Amino acid sequence: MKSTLEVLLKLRSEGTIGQFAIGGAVAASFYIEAVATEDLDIFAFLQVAPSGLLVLTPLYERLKQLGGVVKNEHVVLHGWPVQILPAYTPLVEEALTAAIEQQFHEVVVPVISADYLCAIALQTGRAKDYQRINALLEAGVVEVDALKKLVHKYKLEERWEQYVSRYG
Amino acid sequence: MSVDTAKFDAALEYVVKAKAAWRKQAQSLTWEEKVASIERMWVRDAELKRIREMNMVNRIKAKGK
Repeated sequence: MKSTLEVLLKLRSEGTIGQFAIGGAVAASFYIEAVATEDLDIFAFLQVAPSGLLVLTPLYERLKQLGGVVKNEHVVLHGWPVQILPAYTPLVEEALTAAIEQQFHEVVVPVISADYLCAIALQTGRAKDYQRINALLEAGVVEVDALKKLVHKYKLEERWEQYVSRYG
Repeated sequence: MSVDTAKFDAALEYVVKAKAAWRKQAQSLTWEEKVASIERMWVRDAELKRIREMNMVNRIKAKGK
């Protein structure tokens, strides 16, 4: 995965993508035990056309130049299927901005913090997301007060109640 | 360590302890080690998929006879 991350850092340094951060299961694996995942989720600020639409063509072209192979919704980069997702909600935008730089081998990459991973998982709301929240909370890596502030700020109280009714 | 599975409570306690120990060990790995384990899961899952598909083909063949 080191080579995959190096490509992403290159894309950022040359301005093809803006700020990015690792999310999803790979980010969670920084804080808790690894679980099976098929891909590497990357949240990023992407180019937006004056019309407001996302401009993905230059990104995909550059990824191909750097050895990426487009396969369904992923780009396979050095063996890792990568999904580059735009920062699609204010919560994800804030999570991206607050991402913490972590070291993977000699590469330093931003990773979504555990608090934000929980909040994003609440927002997504699938069964596996609730499991991830539970694992992060059980491992004691989440600042619960900070998470509760995010829950309130992004109106996730109902999802939180659902989580508590399942796991609380 | 062996456990008497006829004694349900003891067996359950053993499983809970074993799972907790495994989890603690898994959490103590470095990020690099955890990512390597995810990559190994791909190999395992591909092999399981291959076996499942092979079994399915064999079952269909057996029904056809």
